[in-house]
Amino acid sequence: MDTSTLKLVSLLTFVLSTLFAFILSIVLNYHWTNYSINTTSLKKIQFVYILITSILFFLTTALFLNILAS
Amino acid sequence: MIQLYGNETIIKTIRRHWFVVAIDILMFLALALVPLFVIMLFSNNIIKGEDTSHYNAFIAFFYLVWLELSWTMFSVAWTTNYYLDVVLLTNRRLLKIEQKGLFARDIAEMRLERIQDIRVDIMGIIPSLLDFGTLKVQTAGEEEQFVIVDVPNPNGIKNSIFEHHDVTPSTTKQSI
Repeated sequence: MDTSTLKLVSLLTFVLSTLFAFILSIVLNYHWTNYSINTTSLKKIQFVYILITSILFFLTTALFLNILAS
Repeated sequence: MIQLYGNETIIKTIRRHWFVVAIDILMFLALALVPLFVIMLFSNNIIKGEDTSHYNAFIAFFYLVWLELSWTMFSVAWTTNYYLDVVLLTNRRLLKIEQKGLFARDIAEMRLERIQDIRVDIMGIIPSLLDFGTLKVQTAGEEEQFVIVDVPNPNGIKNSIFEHHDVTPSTTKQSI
């Protein structure tokens, strides 16, 4: 597979995965906020989820931009 | 949101045993690591001798996307199978809240004074060692029974239910 095709596939993958993760994050946050029994653990859960998701998203975006620039 | 009666308090919040969650975590860890093994296999055996350095950025990118999706799916599974699947023991009722996927939720309740029998099933070596199992709560009449699976310390929960069963507000009311 040549590099330009791979770049196109990367672009589609990046857009779709970001959209997928974003929508599911909103749905999860809605569930946690509305249906949680223990609200003290809720803050910790949200913090851990947002932290890990942000790190993964930052790394993915950095690599994606690196691919586009190369 | 769960609506409690005026004089109702939550006595116990019961979720699945940690072992069941640990199995889920291990499965998702395995899922997250599978592409790494595939990449190692490819780089060592199949394209031996060929320069693949220009593909490294793509491989790393697709692996990160895979990790991101695995993490999101794990969060969904953890939320629906563990965090929002909960049984509440109050001083008046036993509430079983079951999150079925992301868009379906089932809430069943049983008044404590109607409970007639509770069965505890602990099957297998691991549940016996770690003390978790299934609780089957039966009411009077033809109502279906509550089946609560993989609960930690099922005998302790059974005792708690019977303890509060004997002092539920309505029972007290009737005896006066």
